[in-house]
Amino acid sequence: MKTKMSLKTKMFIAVGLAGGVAAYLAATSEPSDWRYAKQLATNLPKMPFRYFV
Amino acid sequence: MPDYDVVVIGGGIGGLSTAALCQKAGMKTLVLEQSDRIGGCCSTYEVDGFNFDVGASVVEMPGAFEELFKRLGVPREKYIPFVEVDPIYDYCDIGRGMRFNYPTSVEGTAEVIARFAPEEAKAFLDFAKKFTPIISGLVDSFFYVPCMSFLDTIKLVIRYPQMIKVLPMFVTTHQKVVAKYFKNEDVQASMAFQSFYGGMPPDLCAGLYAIIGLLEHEGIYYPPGGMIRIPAGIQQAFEDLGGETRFDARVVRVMVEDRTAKGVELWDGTEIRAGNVVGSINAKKMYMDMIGREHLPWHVWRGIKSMELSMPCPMIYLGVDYEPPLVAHHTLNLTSPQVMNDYWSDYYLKGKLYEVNGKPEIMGLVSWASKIDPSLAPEGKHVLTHMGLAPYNLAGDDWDRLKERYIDAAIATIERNIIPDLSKHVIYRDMATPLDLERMLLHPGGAVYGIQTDISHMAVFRPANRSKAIKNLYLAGASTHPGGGIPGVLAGGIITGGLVTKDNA
Repeated sequence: MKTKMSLKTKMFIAVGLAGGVAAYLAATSEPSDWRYAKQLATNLPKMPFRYFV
Repeated sequence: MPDYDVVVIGGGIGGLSTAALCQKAGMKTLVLEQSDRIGGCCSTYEVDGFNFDVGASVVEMPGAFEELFKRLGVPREKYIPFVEVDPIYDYCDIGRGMRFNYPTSVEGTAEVIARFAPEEAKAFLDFAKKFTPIISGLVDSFFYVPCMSFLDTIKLVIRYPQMIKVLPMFVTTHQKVVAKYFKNEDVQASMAFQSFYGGMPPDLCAGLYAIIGLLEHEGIYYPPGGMIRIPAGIQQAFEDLGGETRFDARVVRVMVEDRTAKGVELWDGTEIRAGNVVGSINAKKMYMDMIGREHLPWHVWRGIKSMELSMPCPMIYLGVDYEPPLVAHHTLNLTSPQVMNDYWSDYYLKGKLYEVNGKPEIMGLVSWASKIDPSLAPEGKHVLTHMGLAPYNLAGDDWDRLKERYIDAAIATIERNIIPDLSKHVIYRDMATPLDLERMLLHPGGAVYGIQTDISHMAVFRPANRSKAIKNLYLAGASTHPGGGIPGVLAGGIITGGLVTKDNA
């Protein structure tokens, strides 16, 4: 029987995805990337909510 | 009983292509356009015999048109003629005596680069050889399919495993990608402007945009008669299939009952009931103004409210009394990535216009449409447009007051960098400020590209083509996947048309 994924689960996955992006950036960024990192850091917390639009 | 199967809000090419596909599938479809002219940002207006393209100035990725008309079952040429444009860009830096242009041919572009940066010619050929198949494959796999969920993303990667090679480009910057492959500053500068197609400067734009420009080498085109031929052609195809278009029909509300779209209400109180509603306007405006908080769950409201608008593109329209000394349809002042980055952080974000030595320097793209179609201007005269980059909110000023000074500054900038003595030949001048774009086209903030296009607003994080919050509500246009620009909007219309017809089959 197909069950619908709960909102909570979707949020966790979305946070996980955003966190994965953050971890990748942390591992590969250079000092010149700090502006980009700052922009992404500002937006990462909002991304899980944007997923539901 | 609904009046229509589908009502589309907005007569831009996104909404029109969705409407045409729905009508083709036998759904009774109505397009509601708020103005008296079709096309939105992709349109043309006439004054004193000069025909100016409102915003969009050229067609890239013509494959998107072939895909649409293939699905409509009619030849594209019947509705929208195209003339090939070559070269792609001409780059100028009069101060340094530097001028070169990139032809459509990759080999030709490498030969041009070899003249001023011999060490980079092979680098460009290698860059094109490596990434053109990848970006072309990505477009074929990704461009016309929905990407609304994690499952969609996984399916995309399964369908096109090469996408894994491109994924890092979503999290690195345009500047880093270009700097990795090219060391010459003029070559880097020639690619820098394209970061603004992603709405950001080179050090903030997603790296993917560094390779999207390669698609221009597959050919760029212009429709004789002006860019309005594009929406007018799609509208005609739509109406030939039995579709209906109404003008001066501004929608003020999407009628929602029990989280289901039921139709729309017009400015004069007229209600039109429909089985499905497609909004091809700015997603923030639709959700926040036309639907409202009371119909949206808190996390959806928070999501749409958090989305950033794309940067506005103020447009200048000039009628000149001579043939300007240009060689290409599109001309750019050669501007280094660092200048663009500084412009963004030190001026744009602070609501200021860029200055050099105390004088405003209005960066932008000069388009010469009458080079391709002389009938766009009276005999012996020509039309020029300038698409600039400037903030909507100005520090200590407003666009209505600034308008004439901005036009003066832009003409002076073009005169300094690209066309000497231009001011002596201007016989008509006007502009669409970000405020004008907001008023005329109802784009909040004058954001003609809809929602910003960085990784945090792309794919599953972009307003979905099928609303996740309201049943029977769909989105088309620049605000939804895949994004703005003519190819993106057309592809989005194809995706949304596919979803509406599939859901109602």
